[in-house]
Amino acid sequence: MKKRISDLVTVLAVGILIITAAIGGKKIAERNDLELIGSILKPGKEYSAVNSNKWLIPGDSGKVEAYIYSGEGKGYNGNVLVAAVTDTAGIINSVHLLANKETPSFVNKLFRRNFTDRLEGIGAADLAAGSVTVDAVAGATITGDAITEAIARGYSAGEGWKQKNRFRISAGWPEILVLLLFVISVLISVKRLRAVRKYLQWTAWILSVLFLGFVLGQPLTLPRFITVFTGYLPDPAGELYVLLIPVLALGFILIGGKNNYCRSVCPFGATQEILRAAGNASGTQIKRFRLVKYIQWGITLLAVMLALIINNPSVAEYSVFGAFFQLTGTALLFVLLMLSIIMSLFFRRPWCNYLCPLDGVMAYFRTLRRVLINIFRK
Amino acid sequence: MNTLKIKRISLSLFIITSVFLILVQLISAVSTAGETDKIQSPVQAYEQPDSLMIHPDSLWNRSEFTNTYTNER
Repeated sequence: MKKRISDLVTVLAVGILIITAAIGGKKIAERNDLELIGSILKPGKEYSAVNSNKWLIPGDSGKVEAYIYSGEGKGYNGNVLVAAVTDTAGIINSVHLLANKETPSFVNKLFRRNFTDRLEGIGAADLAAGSVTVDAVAGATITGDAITEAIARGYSAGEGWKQKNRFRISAGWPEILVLLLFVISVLISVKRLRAVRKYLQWTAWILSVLFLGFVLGQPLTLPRFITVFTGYLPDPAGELYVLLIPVLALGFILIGGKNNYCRSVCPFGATQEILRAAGNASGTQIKRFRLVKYIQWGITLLAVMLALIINNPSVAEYSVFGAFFQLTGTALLFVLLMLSIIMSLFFRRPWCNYLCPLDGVMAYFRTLRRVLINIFRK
Repeated sequence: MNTLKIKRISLSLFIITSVFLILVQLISAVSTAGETDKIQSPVQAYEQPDSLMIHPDSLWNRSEFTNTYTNER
């Protein structure tokens, strides 16, 4: 009976999400690139389009004074639209972020670290040809790369160059680390390895906190699922591990029915386990609070609905990962983080059990698996 | 008051406070997303140039743009 209610609630939630996605889709007005380009010019300045990616700005003498190139790059939550103003020799003078769906803290980080200063003075042609590279800003690599890519693409298209094929998938230590963490998560459940289970678990947690959390800073978040739900797939040529984490996390749930990501791979889950050990807290959950799950899932549903209506996945970002591992986020998220850290000393995974938005997503996929298995059995 | 009761009360307070903070965070994110849309429209960009990543005037304040270029392609 309980499972039937759970299935019904899941179907209802999916229905609500489809309706909100449709409302959000209707609200998206056709983006007017020309208006956005006009927005970076001084009032009264004339400009004319050479093609859909290149504009020229005539000077007082009638000669061309500058060019504007606009293009799109693949960001974390969707495409970013960027315009670069160059002089007549193609040297970049200024960079303008016209439209984006990135998490505001990432964009602010680029802003604070003067990322666009690194682009200014570079030849747009060199950038498009790939003969120069721009140093990334740690913690906002994907958004920074998306801006650089947008300028390169805008210039290539504006000058009629053949688009360079960027599809070069390369794997490095982050991908090996992610695979290793998932392998450990499987080994933990092997009965024969019961004797070393504790050591395996602690190895996974420490590796996850140090490298997946503090060094890479790109754990699985709710906006990542929303972007995929709205039809946007991140570029695997960028950072493959960002794509690998959700694929493996959901793969384990859909194939084996086990949530290996939350148990052994999630860096904030691991942080709470380490804090629990430090506080010597009990591992059992208080029974009466199991009902709070519905509030937790309700908030997740609300966040997804808001993101779909506004058509901006970053709106649904209320997790404390960024605040803890990258020191980015709003004051409210830092307060939430402090409360979660304190409570982790006395309770088992308070953030995961009562607040984490991913819990609802994982529960949904578990239910989906059960429903699919029942359908196939019938 | 036994330990379990204290635990239950503190956990309840934690959940209530956190849910409240998350709701405020979501509302504030929604309102900020709305503001960003306004800033990106042309009229707002002139009025609030500082809200853009690089503000529009910076383009024209640079010395390169005060000269007339002769090396036009």
